[in-house]
Amino acid sequence: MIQYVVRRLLVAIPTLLGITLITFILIKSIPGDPTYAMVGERTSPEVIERNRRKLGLDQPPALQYWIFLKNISFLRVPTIKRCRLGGYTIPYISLFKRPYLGRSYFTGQPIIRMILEKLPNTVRLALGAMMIALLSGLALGILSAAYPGSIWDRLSSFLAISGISIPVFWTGLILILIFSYYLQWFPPSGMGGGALIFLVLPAITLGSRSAAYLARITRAGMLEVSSENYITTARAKGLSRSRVMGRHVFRNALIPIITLAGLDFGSYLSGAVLTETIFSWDGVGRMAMNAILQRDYPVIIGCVMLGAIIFIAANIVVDISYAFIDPRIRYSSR
Amino acid sequence: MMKRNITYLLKHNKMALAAAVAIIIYILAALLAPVISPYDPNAVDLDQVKQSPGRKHLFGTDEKGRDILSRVIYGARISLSIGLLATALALSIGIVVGLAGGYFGGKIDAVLQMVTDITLAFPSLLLAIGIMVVLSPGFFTVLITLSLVGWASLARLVRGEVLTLKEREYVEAGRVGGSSHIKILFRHILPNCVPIILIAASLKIGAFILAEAALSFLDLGVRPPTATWGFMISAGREYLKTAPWIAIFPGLTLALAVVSFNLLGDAARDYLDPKLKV
Repeated sequence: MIQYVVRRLLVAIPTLLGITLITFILIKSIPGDPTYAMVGERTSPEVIERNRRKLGLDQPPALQYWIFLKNISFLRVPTIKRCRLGGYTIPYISLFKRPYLGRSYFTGQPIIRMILEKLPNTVRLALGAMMIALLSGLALGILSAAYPGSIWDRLSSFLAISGISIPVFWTGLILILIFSYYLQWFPPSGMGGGALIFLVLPAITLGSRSAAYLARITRAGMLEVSSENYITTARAKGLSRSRVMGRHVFRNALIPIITLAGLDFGSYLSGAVLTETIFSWDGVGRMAMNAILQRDYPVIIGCVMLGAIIFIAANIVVDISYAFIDPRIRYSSR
Repeated sequence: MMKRNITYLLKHNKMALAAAVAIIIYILAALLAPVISPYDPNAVDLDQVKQSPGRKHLFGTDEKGRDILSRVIYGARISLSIGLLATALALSIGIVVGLAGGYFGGKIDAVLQMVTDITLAFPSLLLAIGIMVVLSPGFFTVLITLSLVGWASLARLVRGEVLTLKEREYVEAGRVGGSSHIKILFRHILPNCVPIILIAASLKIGAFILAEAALSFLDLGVRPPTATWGFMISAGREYLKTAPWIAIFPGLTLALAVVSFNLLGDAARDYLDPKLKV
């Protein structure tokens, strides 16, 4: 098990390096002086010069990339540091540091701090969206797999194809139009200091695509498992239909469902750019959108890199969770 | 052979038929835009600002008095051409990478797969945003960006198919018979990948149309005043309360186009290869 996890983590390293390389290339291709891109335009010449040296812009590109990697990493070469504790100076070995992604053009704040400030809001939205997606997607998928060809099945596949095809930013606007302006059930925008009612429409908007995919994949998976011999056996030995569906079919159709849910959750940061903008939700997505409007390049690219890293992390978590759900994977990796 | 299959498919699947008809209408509308649109899509008419849909303006007018129907028709040109061209470009990259990696294996495959994996590791809209902000927005940059982001899933698909195909007897026979690698790839392997490529392509067109709209919505697409569905929706946001039709009609048109391509892709998949999960 531990071996499996470690191997999965090691496999992610080249991909992570690739992501940082692409990010580095994007930063290098920013129009204008890259120093401004990293430290902001309103800094004094001395600061710019210091950063230029710190970023190694006078060095060859390969070395620049290495410096970039050192800057964004949270690990450091172990160094002995001292901290003062009540009159004593205690030496300790420092392994971690704060990653440095550059500063915003406009506010001059470190990008990492900006992102960390907004991240909890995005996570809240993502959790709400995933809950809605799982509830509605699984319900629709199970319903249509239980009665294939029925009106429920057709309704659910219609909803699924719409959910996949309709752009989220338009879904959001239509929801606001119907539920905020006409029916006045939910507020159209903002976060309302954390009131749950403000979360409803954004969560539905962000979750609609996942719900559609989940419904499809649940249906397909359950129908596939239904034709297995062990399901016939379960029915033949006299188990009720609902018990077979829940205990045997659903549990065995779970792997693709978890894969999809996990990966979608990991990709909500990019989906959130559109949703958060529409609902003025104060998260990372809207921050990225504002950065796009202001052409605040370092912030945009910081968000892109973060999005990719979160996506990879979701990938790894999904892979590891397989081992917990499916004993076959656990044993084969020994 | 292929043609007979398609007629069979359309005859027996009414949804697919409806989708195909819708797509043909969209393509005709895009081609004939100057002939069929009632007004000049960019003609500002400040006396006709935010007119609700009616006899004079079927879809109403926007905040500058421009006819929304005409703008939607012209918007089809951008959406469809980007959808189709980006798919063609992404397919060319994906097919070359997939064929080379799957057929030659070894180090070539390892390198190509790593590039594919890294591209797939980015959430696609985010990567597109990242590339679009450093390039300057416009028709060709959108096209190139979407193909750069979208080729990887196609490459993975083609590679998988090649891996199974290259073990077949006729490929072996070709090799024994002294055919060159290029000939085996393009004569024997590629033609057998066509069904899977067709399915993936029709689903990809819908995805690219959506992505183009999202970029335009974020103001990272084709520059205004050129009419694009995404930008029209984004402009309509501000007037959602007073003039909802500004955002509604471009969105409906966009959704219907994507639904059509997706339905066609689904039908093709069910027909050609029911087990395939694209």
